[in-house]
Amino acid sequence: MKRMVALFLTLCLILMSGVVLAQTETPVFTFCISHMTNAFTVTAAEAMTAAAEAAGAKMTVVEAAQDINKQVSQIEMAVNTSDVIIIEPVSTDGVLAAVSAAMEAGVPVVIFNQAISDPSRASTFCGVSNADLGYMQMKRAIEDMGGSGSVALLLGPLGSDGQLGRSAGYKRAIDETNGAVTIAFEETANWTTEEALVLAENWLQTGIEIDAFVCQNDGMAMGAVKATEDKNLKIKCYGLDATDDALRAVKEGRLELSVSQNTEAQAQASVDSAMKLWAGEEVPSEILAEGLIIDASNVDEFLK
Amino acid sequence: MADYLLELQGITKSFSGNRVLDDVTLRVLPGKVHALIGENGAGKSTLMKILMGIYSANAGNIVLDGQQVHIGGPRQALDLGVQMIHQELSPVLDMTIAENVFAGVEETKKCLGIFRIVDRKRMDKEAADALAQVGLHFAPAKRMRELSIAQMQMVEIAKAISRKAKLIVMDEPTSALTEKETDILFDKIRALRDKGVSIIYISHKLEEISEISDMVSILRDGRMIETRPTKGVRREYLISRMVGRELTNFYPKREVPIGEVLFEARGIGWKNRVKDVSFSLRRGEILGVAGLVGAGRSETMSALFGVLRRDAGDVYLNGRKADIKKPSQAVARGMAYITEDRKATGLNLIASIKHNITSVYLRLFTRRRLINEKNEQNAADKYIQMLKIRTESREKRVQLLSGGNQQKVAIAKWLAGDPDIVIMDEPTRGIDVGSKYDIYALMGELAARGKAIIMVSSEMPELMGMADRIMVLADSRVSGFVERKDFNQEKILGLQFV
Amino acid sequence: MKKNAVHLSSLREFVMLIILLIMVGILSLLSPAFARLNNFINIFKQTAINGILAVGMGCVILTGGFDLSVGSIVGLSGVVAALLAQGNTPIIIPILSAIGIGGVAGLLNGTLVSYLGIPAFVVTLGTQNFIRGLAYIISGGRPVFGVSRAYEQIAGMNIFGQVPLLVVYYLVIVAAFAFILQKTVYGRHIYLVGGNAEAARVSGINVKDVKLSVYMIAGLLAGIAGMLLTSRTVSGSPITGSGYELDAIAAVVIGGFSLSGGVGKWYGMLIGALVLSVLSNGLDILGVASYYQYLIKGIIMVGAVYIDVRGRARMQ
Repeated sequence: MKRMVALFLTLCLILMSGVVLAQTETPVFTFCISHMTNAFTVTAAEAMTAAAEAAGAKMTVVEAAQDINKQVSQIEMAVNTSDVIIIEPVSTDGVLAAVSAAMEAGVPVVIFNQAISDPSRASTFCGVSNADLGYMQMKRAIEDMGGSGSVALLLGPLGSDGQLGRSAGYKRAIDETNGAVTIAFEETANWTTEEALVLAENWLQTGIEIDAFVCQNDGMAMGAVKATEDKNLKIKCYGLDATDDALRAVKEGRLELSVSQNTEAQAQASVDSAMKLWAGEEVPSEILAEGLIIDASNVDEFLK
Repeated sequence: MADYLLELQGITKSFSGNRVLDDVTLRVLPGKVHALIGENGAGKSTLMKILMGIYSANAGNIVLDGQQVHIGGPRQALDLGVQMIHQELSPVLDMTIAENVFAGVEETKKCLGIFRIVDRKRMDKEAADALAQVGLHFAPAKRMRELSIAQMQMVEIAKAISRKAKLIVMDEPTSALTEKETDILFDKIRALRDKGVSIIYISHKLEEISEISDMVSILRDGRMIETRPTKGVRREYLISRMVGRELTNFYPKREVPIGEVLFEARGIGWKNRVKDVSFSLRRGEILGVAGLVGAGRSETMSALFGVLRRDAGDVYLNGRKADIKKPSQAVARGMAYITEDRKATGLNLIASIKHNITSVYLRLFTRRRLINEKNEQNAADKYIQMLKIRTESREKRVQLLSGGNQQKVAIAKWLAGDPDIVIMDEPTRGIDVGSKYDIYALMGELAARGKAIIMVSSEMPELMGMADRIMVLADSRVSGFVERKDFNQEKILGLQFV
Repeated sequence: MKKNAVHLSSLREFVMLIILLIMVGILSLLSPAFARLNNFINIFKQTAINGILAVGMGCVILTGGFDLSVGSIVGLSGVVAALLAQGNTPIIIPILSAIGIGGVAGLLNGTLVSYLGIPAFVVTLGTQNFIRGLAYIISGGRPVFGVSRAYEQIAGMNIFGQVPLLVVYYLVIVAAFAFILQKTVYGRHIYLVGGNAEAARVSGINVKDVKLSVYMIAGLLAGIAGMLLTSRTVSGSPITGSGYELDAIAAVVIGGFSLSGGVGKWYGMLIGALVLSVLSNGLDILGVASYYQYLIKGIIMVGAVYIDVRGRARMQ
């Protein structure tokens, strides 16, 4: 009997603390990010923190080092400490259960940048369409080639969301040429400059004609740039992500262009949605930011 | 024909065209101890490996209890009642005695009607019974690590008994035992024999052969030379049959003038294993060190050489205190240490003879500070010739040499630096008679050149044959010195027991 | 006995040399692009980084040790070099810093393994994480760009028209270690320690110092590799080099080194590293997807060791 009372009291306490938490003046958000080891994720974390600060919210950033198990634990923890959870998922399926659990516990979830496989489980998705980014990038490359030619593709890790989406965009753009543009090479360089450099060197070695290197991120594009420069070849390279280094290369004319996925806009949208959810307002199920092409004509606006 | 327990008939075995056993026949009577002797490389271990099914013979038959059998491996040999106790025991140190006794033949019981699980209780009980039969009263749950080598050997015998062995092969079973432990072992062997178990006993120690065996077979160069009753046979005869020549003086002791004191140890101590050991050593002298296993002989030597960091006492060289805290300092001061266990601490087994020989004083083989191939080769050839190391090439890996030749390499690597003080710990353990003789001759030669030698040995005849003086250790302390003129087996033995 | 038993230790190097030549032969037949001179230069260029790491790893493995931290050292030294190689800073500063970082990391590994007696696997797994962490902290998690033109030239420049300096560095390092391992007393001590550390100690060799020194070597070479990689990719990223330690181990194992120490020749390190890069270069040129490359790499590694083990068993 005594034990039952103790249990009851403990439960009450937990519930009350939840109520207290929900009624605090400043909203508390947790941003669960997949990792913090490349330019994109670091920028995202910074933009997220800045946007929250501007909105008067408290933002905690936790990173999962690409470990889905770790991220699930972090989400479970955030349920107890936060008003809204923003998640950049490690795996599009792996977080589903944790997302549902959070929602059922009454904590809204905003999915950031990478959509989960069942978007209906979360409150909203704030991101960008990878397919659109890929399409924009490839479309420009095809225009620059004059509508026909052959391209070499440097891809992200096969099967990753970014790779799949961007490759789908490439396919759409290439299909529109009705066979005028062909793919000379296509391989993953796992987002890294070193691997891209070696692959590009080896492809150039074959003597097969390449009119453009279209790369799914800027790091790999810089590897392709290096390989072509080493061989004194003038082959246009196309990047994606708009990292500082890539923008500088655009300015110097070494890289043709980079596509910005507008990380700041995505972060801003996430924080806006989180604020609305905290206040109990409705949000649309999907908010997509626009991609931006940054080339020689507008690079100065973006170079810091 | 069923008179014999085991008949190996006309066994022939070649390795890549090299005939190591040639039409060898060995017949073992039930309930007898049958000694098998021969120099290293004579083919004893190959013959036993064929018996155990590790090798298969090119020709010949194995007949057990009148039945021709095929033995495909040690497990099958075991099922037929043939068990081998190897020279180098390989128990699983962190498992219990019972687990070792039943390794591979674990008793099992049904669990939940489906699974077979290890029946620990029954194993412990049966292991305890087997141990009791060899006079050991250990808890079967004791770890092997806690036992001495002699005790482990007893466990091996217990293992054989527990498996109802009819024939037990013992390969150099006493090489790591003291005399007292050897006596205990012999008692067990006699008890087994009286129960009708046959023993094939391989040993280099001829005194033991005449003491324990009923029959003796002599192998030389892959051929069976002779099988005869042991009774009444003289050791000189056995030696001459093994090596094919008469040994005029088995211990080539040379009388050399004893010079000034070269080395002195005062109050050496290391943990509880070496206590207050003091002695002096003169030029030209061979100081024998006797003692039971565990008396602290090897520990004393290691403490002198800086292999173990002694916590008491000093070392004096030429009357001056010498700072020897680690082996490199000992080497630099002209000391050499041929360790007890050549495989563990003496040799780089995976390297060539040449690289082993030059390993200690590598700087002597350099020119302008770089290793000079020619110098190395010359040195290797010199010592191969001088110590009669049997090999077809100086580049051969030491691993592939016989025990006696390995030991010679372990000694040779210290000779290049012309050290003044040479410590030899069990220099002839487990090696063949011919190699032993060569090593004794070398010791005499070194002494004649004014070197001082410390010779640790468990073999009394060897100590008495070679030493000028014997220091006896008992229970970590010096229990006495005996001069050569007073050498007497009972006296030295008496000092070993506290 | 048997004459061939004598040269047993070089069996695997020999087998791998044959496999390397067969690979080169087949790839040349399959693709004319492969067999060109500039592609061979390319291969050496692509071998250089892993090859330099393999040299250091080889020295550690010869003593029976192991170094899992070299990949992280590449990352840290690369990031630091990239941070220091900005603008007009004399390139000697980033170069020395990168090498210095490698040396300090190696000293740390060596001291922990040799003097504190912690198993190498544990120590270097620990420092692998620790050093990787430092790389992230120092770089703030993002790649470092803006490396100066002069710094880019360190690895990027060619001499004698076609020969990249990167290849020259690699070959110089291999030659230096061939010399050290074959000719010097120190080099022989490395083998003796690996063959039987206790016997080496009794023989008066300072085993602890030898063990410490090989970790220093591995660290220094990893620092150099990190510095060169930064110059080659004109950027320093904190994730760079993860997994490189395993490639280096693969190279020396393929090259005939025994993980228990004491066995391995300098040319084994060269052959092993070349086998790996010829494989990926050739398969890239043939357009074989990288997933199959992993497959083939795995088969070659286990196969090489198998041939060796079987060869040894047969000869004994």
